Amino acid sequence: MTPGIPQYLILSAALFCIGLFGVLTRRNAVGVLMSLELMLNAVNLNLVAFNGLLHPAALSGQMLTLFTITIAAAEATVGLALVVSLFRARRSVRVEDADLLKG
Amino acid sequence: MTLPAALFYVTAALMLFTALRTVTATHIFRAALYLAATLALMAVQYLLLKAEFVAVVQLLVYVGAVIILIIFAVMLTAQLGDERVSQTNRLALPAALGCGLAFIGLSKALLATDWSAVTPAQAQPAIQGASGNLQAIGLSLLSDYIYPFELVGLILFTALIGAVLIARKDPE
Repeated sequence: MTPGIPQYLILSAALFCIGLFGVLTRRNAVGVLMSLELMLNAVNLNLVAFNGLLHPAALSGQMLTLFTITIAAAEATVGLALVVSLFRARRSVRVEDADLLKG
Repeated sequence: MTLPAALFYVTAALMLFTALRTVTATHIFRAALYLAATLALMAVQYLLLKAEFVAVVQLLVYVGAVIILIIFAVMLTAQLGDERVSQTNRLALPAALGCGLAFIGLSKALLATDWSAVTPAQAQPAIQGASGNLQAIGLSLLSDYIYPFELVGLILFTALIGAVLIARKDPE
């Protein structure tokens, strides 16, 4: 069976849900960032699949994916800088240790 | 089954496995390596969809740069021998239930949709006279997408400065 739109979308949905699970459950802040990257990639697969299977002559999906990859790289840079800074301040990268704003 | 179709299913199964290990591995460094594998397999999917440039960018930016950054952060922050502490918080069970339900809902909606009604467009190529994916992307980056292209450069620059400012030591 040739993979069509549903196969790609289901793969992407599965990856997205796995990433969501990681974001919700990881205690290590770096782990949360890694799960976020997973979710972003799942969405990118959607964009490229729609582009490639429904409108092969156009480039919109691929361009959007390129921009998403760039933004994800920027997000990872700032996020990891925050993690390093958090580690300096609290000697820990556990997300539950960053509770200064908790009422 | 043709070779690309078989390749799709094999890659998809491998991706699901490595993604699951990324979020469940007890050792954060191993999780980073599994993430690298997932991202590399994603590049294979892009190749199967005939998006060569996106696949190469995926390898360069994600597997090349972002994974290195993540591994650097792991090395700088994690006590690597610290495996006894559980890596997941007490939300694990409800989160697994919720994500599983979300996946079931999403796939039900996807399968209920009549995709045969969405016919592939037979339009003209977006860029005339371009031979191949790479040239078409290069031309449209500097014509149709010139404003987003410049803007994303500005965002990258801002993020770079921001990251340096956030991560530097406080001058005392």
